[in-house]
This record gives sequence, C-alpha cells and structure tokens, in this order.
Amino acid sequence: MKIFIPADSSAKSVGSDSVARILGAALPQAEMVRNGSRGMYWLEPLVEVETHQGRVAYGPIYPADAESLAVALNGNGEHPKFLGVTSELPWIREQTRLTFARVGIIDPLDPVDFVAHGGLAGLQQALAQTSESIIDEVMTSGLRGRGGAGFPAAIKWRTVAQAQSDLKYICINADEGDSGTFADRVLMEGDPFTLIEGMAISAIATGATHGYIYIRSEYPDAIAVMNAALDIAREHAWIGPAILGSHHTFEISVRVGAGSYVCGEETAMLESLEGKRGMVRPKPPIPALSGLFGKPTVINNVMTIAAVPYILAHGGDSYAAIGTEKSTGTSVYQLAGNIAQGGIVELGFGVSLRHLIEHFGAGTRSGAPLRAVQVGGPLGAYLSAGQLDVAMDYESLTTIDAMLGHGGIVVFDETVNMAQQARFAMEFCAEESCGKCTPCRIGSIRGVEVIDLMIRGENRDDNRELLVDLCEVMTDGSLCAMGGLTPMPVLSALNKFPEDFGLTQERTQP
Amino acid sequence: MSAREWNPIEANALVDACVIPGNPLVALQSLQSQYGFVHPEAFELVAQAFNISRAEVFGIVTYYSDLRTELINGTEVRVCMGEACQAVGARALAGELEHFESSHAETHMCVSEVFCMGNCALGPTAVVGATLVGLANVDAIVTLLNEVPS
Repeated sequence: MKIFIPADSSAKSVGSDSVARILGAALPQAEMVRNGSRGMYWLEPLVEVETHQGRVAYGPIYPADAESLAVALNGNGEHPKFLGVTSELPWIREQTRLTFARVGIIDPLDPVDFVAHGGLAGLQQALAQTSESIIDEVMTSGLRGRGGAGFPAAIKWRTVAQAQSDLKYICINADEGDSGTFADRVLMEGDPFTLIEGMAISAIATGATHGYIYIRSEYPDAIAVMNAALDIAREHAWIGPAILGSHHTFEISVRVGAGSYVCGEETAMLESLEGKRGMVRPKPPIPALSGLFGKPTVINNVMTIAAVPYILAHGGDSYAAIGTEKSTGTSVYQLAGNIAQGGIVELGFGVSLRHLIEHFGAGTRSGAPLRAVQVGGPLGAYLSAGQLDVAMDYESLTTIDAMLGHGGIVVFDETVNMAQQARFAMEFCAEESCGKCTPCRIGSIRGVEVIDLMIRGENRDDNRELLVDLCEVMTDGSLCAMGGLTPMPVLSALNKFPEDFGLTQERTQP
Repeated sequence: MSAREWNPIEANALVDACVIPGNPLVALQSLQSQYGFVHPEAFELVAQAFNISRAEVFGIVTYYSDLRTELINGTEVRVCMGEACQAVGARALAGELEHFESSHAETHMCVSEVFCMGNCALGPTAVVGATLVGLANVDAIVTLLNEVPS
C-alpha cells in the first residue's frame, strides 16, 4: 500500500505530521510519501491512498481521525471522510493545472518521480535551441510577470541576453509577502525542481551563470526543501558546470530574507541580496541592464519562472491559447481569508471573481454574507459584493481601479469594519516603508492619524478631503509600489464603504 | 530558545565563513541563529570582516525586523496579522493571547505580531516557537506551549 500525506507547511499546521506518525506506526507495511499539497486546504490534512482505481482521498484527517483511518485502511477502506478518486474531485478536475501540474502528486524531492511526470522536458527543449529561439518561444506564449506588474517576461530576458557583460544574474523573487498569497510557497514545497528547471532555461536563454532565490524567512520549510532540491539537481547535473552535459554553466543559491515586506520590491530585493538595508533604488537604470552588483539581471517571480518549463515543453502557442487576448496562460489564484474552501485554483486568466469565490470557494467560512474582497495583497483594492463579476485578468481589474497583484483573494464577511481595514493599510505602510520617500514614510503615519480622527467622528468631511489629498501625494510621490499603491486599499474602502467611516453620502473621487 | 553562549573565536569563524560569497546580512543571520540575537560585539566583527563601518552594520540590524539585539525571554508566540487572518478573527486572537500572557506569567511566552506566514487559507495562524499552527485558538497555542521546551 502506498499512502500520501502532505508535508506542506499549511497541512502540517493542522496536524499532518502527527497523522503521518500515527498511520506509519499503525501500517508499518505501507510505503509513505510526504507529498506537497493539492491545494484543497479545507481538506488538509488530506490523506491519499493508491488503489486500483487511482489515488483516493480522505480528508480532513486530523490527528484524532488517524486511528480510525488506519483501521479502515487495514480493512475495506470505508471511512466517513472518504472523498473519492482525487483527480476526479470537481475542485481539481475543473482546474487547468500547468504550473501546478505536479504539485501534490509527486514526491517533491524525488528526481525520478519528477522526470516521470514530465519534468525536464522543457530544459531538454531549451538545450536544443538557440538563445534567440527560446526567447521567441516565451514571447509567443505572451507570459507576463506574475509578481503584479505584468511586464512581458520575454522582453526582460531579451534585454539581459543582449546586454554585454562578463557576468549576468537571475534573481527569483520568492519574498511572497502579500497576505492572502501562498502559491510560491506551495510550489517550492511541493515541486521545487520546476523552479530550478525554469531558472536553468532562463540562464541558457540569457547567458546568466549565477542565480539566487530570495525566500522570505517566514517560509522555513520552503527554504529547506529548495536547498535539498538544489543539492539533488547538482548531483544530476541539472545545474552546475555543465547543464545536462552541455557547455552551459549555471549555479543557484538560496538567500533568506529577514522580515522586510518591501524587500519583495525588485530593487529593494537586490539591495538585500547585496547584504544592505532593503532600500528601494530609483529606476533607471533598469535591473535588466544594471541589477545585482551592477550586472545585467533577470528578476522574475516564482510563478513566472515556474510557467517557463511548460512553455518550452509544449510550445508558446499552446500556452497563449489559454486565458484572454492580453493576459495569456493560466493564473494561480489563491483563495484565502473568510472562505469555506480556501486554496490554490489554477485557471486561465479571465475567470470571474464570483466563480472563484462562490463556485470554488463555496462562499464564506462563517456562513455570513460576503461584504468585501481584497484582491492582490495588502496594496490591492477592496471590492464590494457588487463587483464580483469582474474578470480576473490584468486589464479588467485595472478598469475598476483594482489590480491582480500576485493573485491573492482575501474574503471578508459582514463583520468587517472597512475603516479599520483602511487604517491597517496605512499602519502597515508606516511599519514596512523603507523610508526613502517622504510621502510613504511620513504620509502613512499621517494617514493613520487622519483615519483615526474620522473613526472618532472629528470633522469627517474635511478629513475625508485631507485623506484623499494625502493619498494623491503618496501615489504620485513614491518611488515604488509600497507608498504608491497603499492608497488603493484606503481609497477603495473609503469610496465603497463610506458608512464605515461615519460618512453618509457617497462622494465621487476628485 | 536554545541559544549558545557568545564565543568571540567561534563567532569570528562564523563571520569569516560568510565573507565569500556572502554579505553582512548573511553573516548577521548566521550569528543570530547561533546565539539567538546579535551580540553587541558582533557589530565590530561584521564591520571589520566586510570593511564597512559599524554604523552601516547598525543600519542593517535595525532595518530588518528578524534581527534583534536582545535574547527573547521564554517561548516566542507570533500571531499573524495579515488581512487573510484578520478576516477570520486574528485581532480577537491576539487580544485573548495578550490577556492570557499577562495573567499567566508562568507560561513564559512572549507574544508578538507578524505579517503573513503564507497560511492564508487556514487562518487564524500563529507560530509557537518554530511550530506553525493553523485554525489557531488560545487553547491549541497553550497546549503546544506546554510541549515546547523553553
């Protein structure tokens, strides 16, 4: 018998380690695989068993359920928490899993399992091609940066490829600091070789010889899995002095963040990689020409680079056929917060927010009516219950003054106080601002104070004007998204939920 | 915290091991993981090894919230305050924990707030010592506290 119990840190947070211990002791003859998560977090710990019908699932199996499950598995397998064949569960079946094709299925650190499930096909394709044709393939795919800005990946790569330098770098941004996002973590813990493969392809295309993966310190499990995966990849010459026996050289190191949110901004991340305070750099020069240690540097998000192996293996055209015209391919949406069925939903761009929340998410966890949804992390807009029909792609969200960000969707029920959420956005900016730009450093503190005045009921209309004005200064006067986008959650809360600020009539934004 | 006593010779070796191909931040992280905090003598050590001023080292230490200049007393309990956890009661949990902390000094817990542990589908989230707790409540945290050696 083969049993799969996730070692994903979220699954562990609800007891999957204890479940594994209990099942291991009760079923000594069974082979146990500690896989990544399938992304159905409300069912974690999700235990799967290989049968002649395929893998069947039981969940959620909390430590208290483990004994009874062991008894069931020793018998006919019947258990109240039996869910059926995993791959046929509607939540999984209805997704388009390209980047997450292997996550939750394979043993994350088994290279044989990885290759057996299609791993390395993209890297082998890349090795048979020229730098130009790899970049053309990525261009054809329409792949855009998944960190939030949505910049075409191929243009970045081409800039680095054409830059003349003795040394070029690839820096992967795994500083996934946005609340409500966890896709990078789940991928790194569940299928780390995909990230390595994508980086190696990027190295071949751009001529970079060294790569860094900057992982936040809040992800100790992802750091451990990535480091172990790099050792294995080196042993198999997937990276190193001669990638798969070719003349390409590429080495990768993991660097650990130190608790700074703004280090998820690309230039602050470069400063941190150089060991300095994570202060934002002005652009230009763009990092593609003068990045890490002043050398041409590709900076990609984990989700961007992890999409690359599929594109090389299956062709840019097949990737571009998914999604919308301008937002091609799949997006990895993350359902979080007050949601009944939270987790990872990978689908082509353009699905409606309502479909994600109501169909996949099954509404709020509390059962109370949904009141607000924050899309795109702490710098993303709050949407009201009336805006759920928006299509989830870069362009559609922009038209309603919102943004996709890293694909995080945080649901709030009717108990939320939006003035408090707006205050929190300002407070967060004050806490995490790197301090370089005055509007961000000081403006955020003033923002907290002004919102406090409104909450206390002092000169609400005047203070509303002051707050709107302050937000304008922050938006226009900050170098990076920290100060520049903090007004997005604040103003969206103010404009869509004025009653929470004690304001009676809605006023249009000047 | 199973931090070790400060040992200048050992610390020096640790920093040296980080010079190539590392940087001051890596050296400071390495020192903190060994001793539990950035020791006052570490500033000079790192400054010399990387040929930067002590003021620059100070700037790095104070910038990053992970780096601390004092040892934590007791078991650290971090409560996630990300929006996703707020949506499922993180504020209330933090309040209850603070109340528990102030009325149960014998538990030796040290409550602090963090922003997002990437456990956003199973909030509220707390971290007790090094253990991540999903669907967290005070009872689960206290039970775990009694298991974690402080």
